[in-house]
Formats: sequence, structure tokens, C-alpha cells
Amino acid sequence: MTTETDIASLISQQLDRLLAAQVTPEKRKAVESGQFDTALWQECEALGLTGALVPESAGGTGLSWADIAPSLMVLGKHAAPVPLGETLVANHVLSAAGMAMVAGPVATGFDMLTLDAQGVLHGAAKSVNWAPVCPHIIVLAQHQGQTHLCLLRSSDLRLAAVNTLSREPAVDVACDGVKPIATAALPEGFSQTTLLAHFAVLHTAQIAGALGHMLALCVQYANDRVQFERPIAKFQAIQHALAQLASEAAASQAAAGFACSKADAQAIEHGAMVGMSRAGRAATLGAEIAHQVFGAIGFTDEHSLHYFTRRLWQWRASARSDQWWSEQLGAKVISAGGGAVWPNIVAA
Amino acid sequence: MSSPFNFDRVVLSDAYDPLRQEVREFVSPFRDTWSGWKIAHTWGGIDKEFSKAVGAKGWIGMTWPKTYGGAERSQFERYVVVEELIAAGAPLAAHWVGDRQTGPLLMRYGSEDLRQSLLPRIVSGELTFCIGLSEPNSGSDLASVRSKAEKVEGGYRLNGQKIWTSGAHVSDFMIGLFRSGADKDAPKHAGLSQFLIDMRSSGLSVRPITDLTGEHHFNEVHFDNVFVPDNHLIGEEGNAWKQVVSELAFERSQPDRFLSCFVLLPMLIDELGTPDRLAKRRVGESVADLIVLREMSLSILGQLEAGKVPAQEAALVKDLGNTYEQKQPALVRELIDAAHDIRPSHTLSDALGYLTQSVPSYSLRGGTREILRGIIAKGLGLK
Ligand SMILES: Cc1cc2nc3c(=O)[nH]c(=O)nc-3n(C[C@H](O)[C@H](O)[C@H](O)COP(=O)(O)OP(=O)(O)OC[C@H]3O[C@@H](n4cnc5c(N)ncnc54)[C@H](O)[C@@H]3O)c2cc1C
Repeated sequence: MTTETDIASLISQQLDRLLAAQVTPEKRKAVESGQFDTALWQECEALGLTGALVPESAGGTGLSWADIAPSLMVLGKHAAPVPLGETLVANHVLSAAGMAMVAGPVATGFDMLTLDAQGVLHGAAKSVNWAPVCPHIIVLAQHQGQTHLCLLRSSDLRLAAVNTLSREPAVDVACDGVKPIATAALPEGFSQTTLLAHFAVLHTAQIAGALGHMLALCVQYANDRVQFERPIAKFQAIQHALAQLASEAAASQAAAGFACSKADAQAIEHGAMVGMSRAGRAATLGAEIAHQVFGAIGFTDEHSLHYFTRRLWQWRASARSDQWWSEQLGAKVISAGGGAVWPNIVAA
Repeated sequence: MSSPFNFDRVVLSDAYDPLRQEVREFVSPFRDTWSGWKIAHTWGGIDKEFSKAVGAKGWIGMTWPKTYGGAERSQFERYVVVEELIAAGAPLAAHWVGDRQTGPLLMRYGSEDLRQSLLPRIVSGELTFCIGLSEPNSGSDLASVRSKAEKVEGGYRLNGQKIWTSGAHVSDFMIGLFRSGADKDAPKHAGLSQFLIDMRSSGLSVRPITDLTGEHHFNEVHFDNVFVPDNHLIGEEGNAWKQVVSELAFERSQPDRFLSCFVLLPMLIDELGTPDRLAKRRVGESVADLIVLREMSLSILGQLEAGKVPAQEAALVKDLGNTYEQKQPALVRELIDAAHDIRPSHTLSDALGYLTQSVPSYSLRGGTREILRGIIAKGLGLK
């Protein structure tokens, strides 16, 4: 184990403890109705994760995706009501463009805007998650045939609320006429898909974390809930359904490990394709099974299951969908031809 | 960790690339002569000559000690060889049981003279083994086997019947599970013993069972006062249950548990023409599933190498893997208009014809889906 890995596993344990102590269903409900827990955010920020993927030379911690994968899963496990994962990825992207990381939560728009010769933006960024609680937003813009990253101050922007499956705050952002507070060209090859891939990898890990936690909730409930004079855990149909949920949780965990390691190996788009394709389907089946096991109580607003299932549905769809990532992977595989399938699968 | 199971990542570095290349170059001229039907059998196909050629390359028993003819190479090198051969559709059944199961079993529990006489001949690809567990009244409930071993002067006398014994008709030896000892009140997992049985023994008869595909693959094996010498008892008398269970973590997580239909994928891709979005999505899903299964399988191998016995994880990989394999023929049918005809002149139809018929057995052999899910559920604390 490297020291980086030691540090990373320490941070993930601290994060787990912090979120276990602080995150209640009430806090998730609060953020879904627009109240942001600034104190919790500050405690998360104090752990030093917001700069985890930023090189030390740029003021970050210089960890790898593989190092922080456990922390990203912990965020999913708690359905954390703070954009910590989103911010650390945004800071990573800022550093890729040679820009300084920013303090506080950062939201990211996925649409491609244009930047004119006067340095003014045109276009809109749709469905920007977390933007209402973030002082800063980053967006992509084309400028003289090159992709640029722009850092915007939220107070300069017109935000129109959008409903999403997770109900975490999201907005459409009108950027026409806005001047970024900083702009830099992204390196060659860093496309819109690359940006999306960063978030797809994040979501893959969050899905894995959430599924693992839902499995634990289901096992506990199945052992507690009695029907026909015995715990429903004694029914083979329930046992087998939960075995399948466990398999999906395990597969999404392996998918997240793969995606993170590809991200570290300059192949983040491939990581996103494989990771989100697999984890997205795990999310779909996992949510189905969990709801079946919980019966009607799991379908209520009062029960906390939906905070996880709605986030699974959000994460499998918010940086393009799992289906879209499958399509990218399939297109790549098919165009390489039948003979290349196997060599590409086993390429280290 | 986000699930109760451990799937820490293990990577096969590119240090293994030369070995991979060597396997590909070895198998390619054989493959050119194989029909689609044959390729589709892959590790389930019996071809003694091919097994001897694999043995001559040093790729059977390759992890075993040199004293027994092995090459003392790592489990990861073996994994590379095995996955490359299966992906190419190579027929491995004539040495598969010996390499995967019997050799390691003998190394652990066999007597020294058995090891010396048998292991080098497994390594050369000469010997074929079969596994005698199932009986007419003991399938999933394996511990209920009734075939009996009775202690006699200098050995044991075997009576009873095995069924579904793959390759018994071409095997030199069977590793068979028998009830021994007189204690009728002992719990049913106790009192079971494993024996090495020479298939030419007098009193032993093999009767073919034609399977759904029309082929002769498995058999009935009858024991009528078959004598086995004392040193053919494997391990301790009455300890077989533990011995059998410890093999399973290895057996259930290998590439053969998710690559049985892999050969269809390259053929399908080459017939897609101009794929639409749905075709791309389905192919992408299939490849993503496969990559993740392989990750999980390698993780288990790493854990076994570290001396752990990840039995739950292995059951989980087999269940996911078999489910994946079973969907492959359906994927072909979904994306191209595959007809019912099976033509040697058309490799895909030939392979698909066989695999469509063979996939129902994948979630039966080596532990049924229901039994595997029961094992996983137990690991979750539900039973
Ligand atoms: C192609 C092939 C090759 C084989 N090769 C060999 C071999 O070489 N050697 C050998 O010994 N055996 C071999 N087998 C046999 C195999 O191990 C058995 O088929 C398997 O153990 C299941 O036993 P069974 O067929 O008697 O089914 P059963 O055990 O009778 O099961 C029938 C159905 O009932 C279900 N079931 C049983 N018990 C439970 C339970 N407790 N809970 C829920 N559902 C249950 C099963 O899952 C299955 O769906 C082979 C089988 C096949 C298909």
C-alpha cells in the first residue's frame, strides 16, 4: 500500500463517520426543498477532499481516482446532501485546464456553449445539478475552434429551477452575455464527452455505494419483518431476490473500481462506458428488488428508501444515460471489428 | 467497502502479453480447421490430440511443482492461458478436470505415489478424469449420496450408481464420492469419502446418455463390487465433504463460468452490417458485463492466491456469469435474423445452433442457480 492509499482510506473512514453522524432523512428532505446544510458542507470541506484529485503543485492532495473510490462510494452510501463528489470532480477539471481550484461547492454544466471574441458567452447550460447552492459554476465553451473551460460566478447568472428525480437542487442556466471570471483552453482531446465521463465515473461509484447500503437495509428489514409467523427472510423467494441484489451491488462495486482505474490511466471515457453501462443496469435492477422486498412501507415518503432509489435513477441518467454510455462502448467495439473484441477486453 | 463481499481489484499487467501472444499463435492454426459447432463447445469439447498439444506446450498443470512435471508458473499465468484458449473456442474437456480439479486435489490430499504416477501424465495431456458426484436420487442435495464404499482387505469395495458423469466414456479415472463407514446415525455430511477409481476396473460399467443436443457427453456409471486399493482413498476417510467444498471456490470463479458463449460475440459483430443504436447499446452492455465479470473473477483469484477461501464471492460470480452466458444466444437473435438452420458452411449458424441448445445446462452444472443463490443468501445472514 502506498502512503497515498493510506491517506485516502483514512479520509474515507473519516467521511463515513462524519456522514453517519450527520446525515438524517430530515437533512436529505431539507436539501430537496432547497435548504442547504452549510455547516455539513464546511465539515466535509475541512476533510480536504475537495482538492483530492488536484495535483499537490496546484494546492490539492494529488490523490488518484482509485485512491478516492472508497470515498465516492461512501457519498453514495449516505446519499450525502452535499455536492462533495461533484465539487472534487469540478476542481479536478479546473486543474486539467490549468486553472486554480476554488473554495466552496462547485457545479458543472455539461452543455457546450460558445465564447465570442469579446470573451462573452452565448448559450445555456441545462439541468445543472447543485448550481443553486454553489457560488461557482464551470461550463464548456467553444472558442476559435478549441474547447475552453469557463468559471462563472453564480450571482452573475439567471437560474431557472428544474425538477429532477433526486430533487436535489438543479437549474437551467442562461449564459447569454455573461463574462466568465476565468477561462482557459482545455488540453487537446478533452472533449465534452471527456467532461461527461468524469461525472459518469463519479456516479458509478455513488451507485455502488448506494446499492451496498440498500442491500444492508433490505437484509435488516427482511430479518425484522414478520409475515405468516416468520421473518420474510426465511422465504426462499426473498432470499434469492436479495442474493441478486447482492450480486448487482458487487458488480457495481467492481465496475466502479474498473472505471476509476481507467480514469487514472488516461482512459476515463472507456472507464465511464464500462462503469456506467454496468452500474446503470445494477441500479435499475437493484431499485426494483429493494422496493419489492420493502413492500408498501418502502413506497412512502416517510421511509428513507426512496432517497436512495431516486438517486440511483438520477445518477444512472444525469451525465448522459447508462444506455448512452452502452451505445458509445458498443459503437467503439463494433467499429473495431470482431477480431479485436477479445484483445481489447483483456488489454491491461 | 460497499457490499458485504470483497472484490478488491487485481490487474493482469502487460507483463503477461508475450504469453498471451504465444497462446494465440498456438491456437490459431487449429482454430482454422474447427467448425462453428466445434468452436461452440470450447472448454466442454473433448479432443485428446489437442489436449496433448496443450500439454506439450507446458500449459497443463503449469502451476504445479516441477517434481510432478509442472512448470511452477503463477495462477495468473494459468489464468491467461485458460482465458485465451476458451475465448478461441478451444476444446479443453479432455484435460480440463485433471488440470482444474483433480491435480490440485491430489496435490493436497493424494498419497505421494499417486502424485508421482499421475501428475506428470496429467501434465502431458495423456490422462482424462471425470467427476462422480451426482446420483439418480442425489442432485442438488449432494450430501445424500448413497453409493457405498465398504472396507475390505487391502482396500474398499464400491457399489452403487453415478449419473450425469461428463466424459466418463473417455476417462481414465474418476474421482468419486461414496458413503463409507458403518455409522448410520451420523449426520449426512459426515461419512463421505473420495476415491480415485480406474475406469477399467472390473465391475465398473459406463452407459451413455444422449443429451438434448444429440451428443453423447454424459453417462451413467455403475459400480458392482468394484475394488479400489487403500492408497486410492483421497484424503481422510469421512472427510470428503470438506475436501469437495474447498475445491468449489476455485471451480466457480474461473473464466469457464462466463466465457462459454464468448465465441458468438466476434461472429455477431462481423455480421451486424451497419448497426443501429439498439445494436450498439446491446453490444456495449454485453462487453461491459464481460469486463466486469472478468474483474470479479480476477479478484477472486487474487484472494485465493492470498490464502483466502472466498466461497460466497465465487458462488456470486458463477451465478452472474452463467446468467450472462445464457443471454448470449438471445443477443444474437435479437440483433440479427438468425434462423433455425444449422449450416457448417456458416460458422455463426453452426455455433449458435449448438449454443442455443446447450445454454440451459449452464445454470445446472456445477451447482444450480437456486443452490448458488442460497449460498449467497446464507452469506448475507438470511438463512
Ligand atoms: C451438462 C451437465 C453435465 C454434468 N456433469 C456432471 C458430472 O460430470 N458429474 C456429476 O457428478 N454431475 C454432473 N452434472 C449434474 C449436476 O451437478 C446436477 O444436474 C446438479 O447438481 C443438479 O442436480 P439435478 O439435476 O438432480 O437437479 P435437482 O437437484 O433435482 O434440481 C431440480 C431443480 O430443483 C431446484 N432445487 C433443488 N433443490 C433446491 C432447493 N433446496 N431450493 C431451491 N431449489 C432447489 C434446482 O435448483 C433445480 O432447478 C451435470 C449436469 C449437466 C446438466
